[in-house]
Amino acid sequence: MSNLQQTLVAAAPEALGDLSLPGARDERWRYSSLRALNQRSFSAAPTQPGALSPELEAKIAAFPSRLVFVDGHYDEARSAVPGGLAMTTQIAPANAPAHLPFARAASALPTLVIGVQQTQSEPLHIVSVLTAAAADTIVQQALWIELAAGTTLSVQHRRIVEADSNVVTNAWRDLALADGARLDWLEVGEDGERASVVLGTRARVGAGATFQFAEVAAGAALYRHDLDVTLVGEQAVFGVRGCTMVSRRRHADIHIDARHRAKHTRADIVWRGLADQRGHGIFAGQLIVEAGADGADAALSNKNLLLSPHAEIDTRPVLEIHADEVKAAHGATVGRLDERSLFYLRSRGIPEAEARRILQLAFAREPLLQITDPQLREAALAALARCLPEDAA
Amino acid sequence: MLNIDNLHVRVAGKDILKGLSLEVKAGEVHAIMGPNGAGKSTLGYVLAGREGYEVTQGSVTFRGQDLLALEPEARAASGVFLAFQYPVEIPGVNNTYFLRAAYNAQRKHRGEPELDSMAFLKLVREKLKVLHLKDELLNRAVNEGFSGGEKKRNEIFQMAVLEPTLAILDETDSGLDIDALRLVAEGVNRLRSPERAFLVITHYQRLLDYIVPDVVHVLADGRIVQSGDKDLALKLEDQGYAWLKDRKREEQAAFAS
Repeated sequence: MSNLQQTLVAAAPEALGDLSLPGARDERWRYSSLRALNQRSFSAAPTQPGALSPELEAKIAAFPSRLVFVDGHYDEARSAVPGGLAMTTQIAPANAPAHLPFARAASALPTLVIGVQQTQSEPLHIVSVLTAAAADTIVQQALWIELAAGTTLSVQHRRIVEADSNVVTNAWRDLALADGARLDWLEVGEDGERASVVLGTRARVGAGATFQFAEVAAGAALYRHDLDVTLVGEQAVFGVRGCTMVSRRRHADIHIDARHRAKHTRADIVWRGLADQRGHGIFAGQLIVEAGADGADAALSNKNLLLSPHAEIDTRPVLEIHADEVKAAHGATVGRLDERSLFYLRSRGIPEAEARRILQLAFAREPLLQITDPQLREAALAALARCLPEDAA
Repeated sequence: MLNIDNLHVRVAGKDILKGLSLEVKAGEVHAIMGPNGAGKSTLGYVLAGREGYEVTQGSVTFRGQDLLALEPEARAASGVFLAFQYPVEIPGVNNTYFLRAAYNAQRKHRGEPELDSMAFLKLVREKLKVLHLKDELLNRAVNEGFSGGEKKRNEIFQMAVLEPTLAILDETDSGLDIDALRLVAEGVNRLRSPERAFLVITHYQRLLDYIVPDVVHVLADGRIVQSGDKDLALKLEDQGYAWLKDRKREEQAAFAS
């Protein structure tokens, strides 16, 4: 048993006694090797929120409505909880699905439960801060958000790091949308190049409810996100607009499973990936239409640009249909930056590096421009501009 | 201003230009005519610096500089502009943003101060008016979803904003109806000045009714085989390019004897 596994299990040994981590032959983890993590030994994680630099405090305070986690611990003092949210902490059973072992480990820990009882007009910022004290540790976090029928919430989740360290983040978010609810979510990480991040997000979307998810993934030493969404009620809607932009030696592995369980449900996934230098981008998108989910509409598009001979893109779009009268489309492409476009820009006087940057941004921006919530869209575009360093071109 | 001497260019292993020489002085408009495959577009691309065009012999001097030694962006900054035969669509890049980036990059390269967005917008609006283009063009992505005519007018609009010293128009007339052709020609004529030269590459004489050239060259098989005044264009219109083959045969016969 590796120290990684021991550390994960030790957090809740009774619930996690049978936890096993993906092995080298696990197809789902083919492009996200745990080898480096398995060889490390971890210190005990900080038991309570630590001190932060004044700059970081100011940055956090700038988010008007916020839930703050420091090194995995919910920090009530730094948070500013808006009205209409009911907050409790529960020791939940390890209820994450078995195929997400990291998520199972996190879900066995005390979970912050947020009940959304009223529509929220302002976006809620969930800020996960990683301090320097988190180096050599596994920081775990579990969230459970329940939207009552007909309520609306917009969330910006971001990870802010004090300094690049080898911290491992293991976060689990369980989202439940009752009938007619709407949740818009933007996921942005500012993770360091030495960090490892494993995210698990599950959503159950009720009748007539809508879950719109957006992510800007800049990657980390290891970055893995499993997004598992089930459309359980009729006419439930799930949309994804995201992009991966990895350079240097960054890695980002995105797995999205969209499961149509009820009639006339709709899923629409648009993801773009760019890999430069020695970056490695992985996208696996799976649309599953279960028996009886007639009239489902499922679409998935994943386009990628390989920007360097040492970069790698792996993409796997999957369609699995067990129902009738289904509308489904899926496609994936991997290409290079268009030389004609590049020459066109340069012939107008734009230097090569800037021309490359303009074309890369334009490519990655396309899905983000389709984010319907204007504040999330703006934040996503700003995050994109941040994660394309000038020297990456 | 522009001096091309014995230029040989190879593209994908094939010799396209085979000893082209040409001199263009400031203020002049030169037309390059010739049959398909003569190397007309190659000339435009090699002057603008497109990759994959290998110069095997000869030289190009522009305002006293070795043009071939410069990157495409440096050529643009020193005053070369190519209006593309097939302008490229660039989704996701706003036309105004693109033009301002180009304009300011050129200014920066020349050590001139950059223009802020307000001042630039004012400049751009003036040029739009002159070319009878709609404001809406500014907010669209570069050439995306433009009609053939709109793309060509957008090229001339870019030229009007960037104010090059040497403008190369590569079959700007192709795919244009007569009204669009007039607008494009009007745009070009407004830019004619004693400091600026034009190289107008065209297959048909029609454009030259509106942009009257000082010199007409016939390009065939990678070389200029005849030069003359604007009447040469009329002669070509009248007789086609078939006589070139006869001429070539005569030349070869003369060489053999």
